[in-house]
Amino acid sequence: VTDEPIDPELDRLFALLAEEENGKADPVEHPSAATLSAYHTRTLPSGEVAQVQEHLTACGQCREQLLEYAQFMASPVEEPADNVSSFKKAAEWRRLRSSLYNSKRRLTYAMAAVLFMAVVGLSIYTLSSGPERSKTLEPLDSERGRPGTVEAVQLPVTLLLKSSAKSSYPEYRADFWSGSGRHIRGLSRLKQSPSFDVKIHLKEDDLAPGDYRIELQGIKSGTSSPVGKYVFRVVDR
Amino acid sequence: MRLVEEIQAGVERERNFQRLFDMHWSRVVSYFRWKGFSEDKSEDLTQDTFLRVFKGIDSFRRESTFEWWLLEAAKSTFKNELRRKTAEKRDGVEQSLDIPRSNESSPSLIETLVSPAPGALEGAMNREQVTALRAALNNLPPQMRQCCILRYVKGLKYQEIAELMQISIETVKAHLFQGRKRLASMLGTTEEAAKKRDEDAT
Repeated sequence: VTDEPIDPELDRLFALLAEEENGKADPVEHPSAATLSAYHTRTLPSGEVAQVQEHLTACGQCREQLLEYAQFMASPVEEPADNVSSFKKAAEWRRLRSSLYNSKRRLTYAMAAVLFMAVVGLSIYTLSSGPERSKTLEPLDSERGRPGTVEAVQLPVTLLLKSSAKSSYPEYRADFWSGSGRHIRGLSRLKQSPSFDVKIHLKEDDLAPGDYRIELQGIKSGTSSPVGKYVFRVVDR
Repeated sequence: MRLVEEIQAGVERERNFQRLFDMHWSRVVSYFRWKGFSEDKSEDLTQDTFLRVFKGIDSFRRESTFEWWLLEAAKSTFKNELRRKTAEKRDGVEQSLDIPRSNESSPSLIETLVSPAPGALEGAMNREQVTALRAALNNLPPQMRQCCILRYVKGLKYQEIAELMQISIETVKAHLFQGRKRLASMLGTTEEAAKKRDEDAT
């Protein structure tokens, strides 16, 4: 039944048809990779199978693609194992792993080096320029008539003058007095922070080493009211 | 596909990469061997393919099978290799085999002009017969027609037709046998039909 009947005339006609057909270009539209791979795995809905088969009859490109895939899939596939199953493959895996991860590792090392340099650079800069510290100063307890603790500070520094929530003013003025009672400087239009501190930034050469007193006044409608007195000592670096 | 899903989800990536590699390595090497590369070269190209696959695995959308995608990566590696080889050869002095050498006998212009071309009548008859063959083919059941076209027009092997049509080789042969019989009957190409035609003509 399966021997093809000999018919030279029919073969001649097919040869003529082949001559005409094989000069034609493939169809412009093709099934997607998803459709073709589903066709191969026989998971394509039956309605689409006939369409794909019709397309394959006309399209050399898809025929080639599908036959190549079939050949590819016909190669034996090995079950996944935790370890590679042959010495050859193990060597090839190590080679691949090295190419795959060394480039990533090199990138990680480069990023770590950049980060390290940045940290070192920042540290050097900070040490050379001197960190600006902050110091909280409590007001002198005037009611008990004794001074508070004398805080020693190194310039530059940010002084945080504590005041109570009850005495809140739109702005403040701070007068600096030396230990010998000489007025050094006055700073006005100071604002209170949300934590009721009044911040004063002192640069490195603002004050010479020695004892100082600050008198803080609250200003409201042009009227000043005393808020507190603070003492501190500027020490040499 | 489960391994791919896990890799994409970041689960044991390296271990799962290794499993995929272990499963498909031989298959990819075989692909390059079919393409005519040496064993060493095939292994190098397999490395390139897996490197490409593992680096781009997050872009795999799982619309087709992983194997389809892997094969596409292998094809891409193959094309790149061909391009590289072509670029290397471009500076060489090799002569294309398509260019005829001067001493090779090729038909002269005179020979070409006086060579007998198929007659107009014969050409018209052929066209008519091909049209009849097309019509006869269209009267065959779809799968039988497709088998006949793939075999006699496209020149595919039985195995290839069976693969493409997802039928057995025996079914392909049966379709071809039946198809030829029916076509011969419709077109009158059998010896008996030819004799009858000759008798009618005389």
